[in-house]
Amino acid sequence: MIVSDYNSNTALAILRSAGYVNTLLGSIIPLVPILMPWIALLLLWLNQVVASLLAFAAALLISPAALTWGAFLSIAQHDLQAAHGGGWDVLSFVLAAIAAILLLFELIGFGIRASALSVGLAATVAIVPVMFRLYPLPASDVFYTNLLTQPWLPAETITLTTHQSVTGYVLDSDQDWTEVLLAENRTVVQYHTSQVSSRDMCQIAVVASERPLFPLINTQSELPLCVLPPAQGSGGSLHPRQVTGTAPCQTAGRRCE
Amino acid sequence: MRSASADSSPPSLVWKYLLPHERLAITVRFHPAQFIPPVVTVLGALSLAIALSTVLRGAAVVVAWLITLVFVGNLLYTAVDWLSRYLVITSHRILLVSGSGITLEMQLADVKDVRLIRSIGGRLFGYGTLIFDSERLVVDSIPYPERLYLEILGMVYKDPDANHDADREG
Repeated sequence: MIVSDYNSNTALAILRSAGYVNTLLGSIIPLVPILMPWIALLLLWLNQVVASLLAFAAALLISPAALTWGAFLSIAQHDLQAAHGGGWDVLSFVLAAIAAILLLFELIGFGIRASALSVGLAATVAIVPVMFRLYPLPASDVFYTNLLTQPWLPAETITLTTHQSVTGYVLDSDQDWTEVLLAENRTVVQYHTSQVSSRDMCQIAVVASERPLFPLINTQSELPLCVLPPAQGSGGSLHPRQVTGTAPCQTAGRRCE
Repeated sequence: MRSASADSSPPSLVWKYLLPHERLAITVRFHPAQFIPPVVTVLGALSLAIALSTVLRGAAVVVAWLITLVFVGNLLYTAVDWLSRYLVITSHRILLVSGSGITLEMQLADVKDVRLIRSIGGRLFGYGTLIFDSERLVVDSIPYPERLYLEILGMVYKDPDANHDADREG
């Protein structure tokens, strides 16, 4: 529904064109990296220390972060310089020392698993504010808007035989018809395949905003940015069939004539 | 160890689960060492929250203190739970009694073997784990473990001569 801009007709058209399994997997898989930091936190709160550590490690490597590691360190350094201790830092240190002594007893008495859980839970006090900065909650921040509204399919610039171009996501293509979800207004249109002269993959969003805190590969994607908005009319003289948005086609099925 | 015989006054929480003909042998709370993990978490969280309050501003500080408050709440819950949990051994049964009722029960006559295990932590803090009937019932964090173990063994394996003596006196 997010991909279809909350238009149920478009959502149904995508479902029909892309298939149920593809749509389901395509909807769930992109959510995994976005939700991974919060899943890790949840696992920690559910006493699953090892699973939580693995999830946090995965989040650092795959979850798109709002800041780069360098920018984050710079902000942290600035905050530390602006800190006003007052005497509270002494109290904090005393409490930390007592906690460390008790932790030693816990380590001896209850084992490493229980101790790791205690440390992990206490650390959430610091982890959660950091996570709010790095991985803003999808519900309250525009950071994820681009990520969530992008379909699981690659964006493509489709050039027609009339030399007009549209940008969208090809849902299905056979020898007769090519079904495209337009990136501009999220409507599904059909073109005769014979009228599509070329299809080139492109990139809708800026790559930097989707990179994790510690990217495994530092090379930037070489895909060109898509040209948005596409030409008015979405196909102009070729009269593409609009699957969604017009009453007859909403009920006519996949190949509305 | 708080051990109560039938003529002393056991906690009302325990008393209401006893049968009229049942004799109360042992009533004991669990070892307070189980407070260590939540106390470590609360002290660590408090320390971090205080330290972060001088660094962060706005909603982040509120979130940090809210999480700390949750841990404090968990510690309070542990304390209340500890106050209302007892291992009760009567002439007929082994019970684990808590505020919510009887959480575990085993007939004393069904007990074939009792084992006592003391971990490093148990030896350090003075608690043990009692295992009844090859792990059919496992009771952890028992204070005064050796003494309790012997008392329970004494109830499970009764001295046959003592019965003969009692019969003769009767």
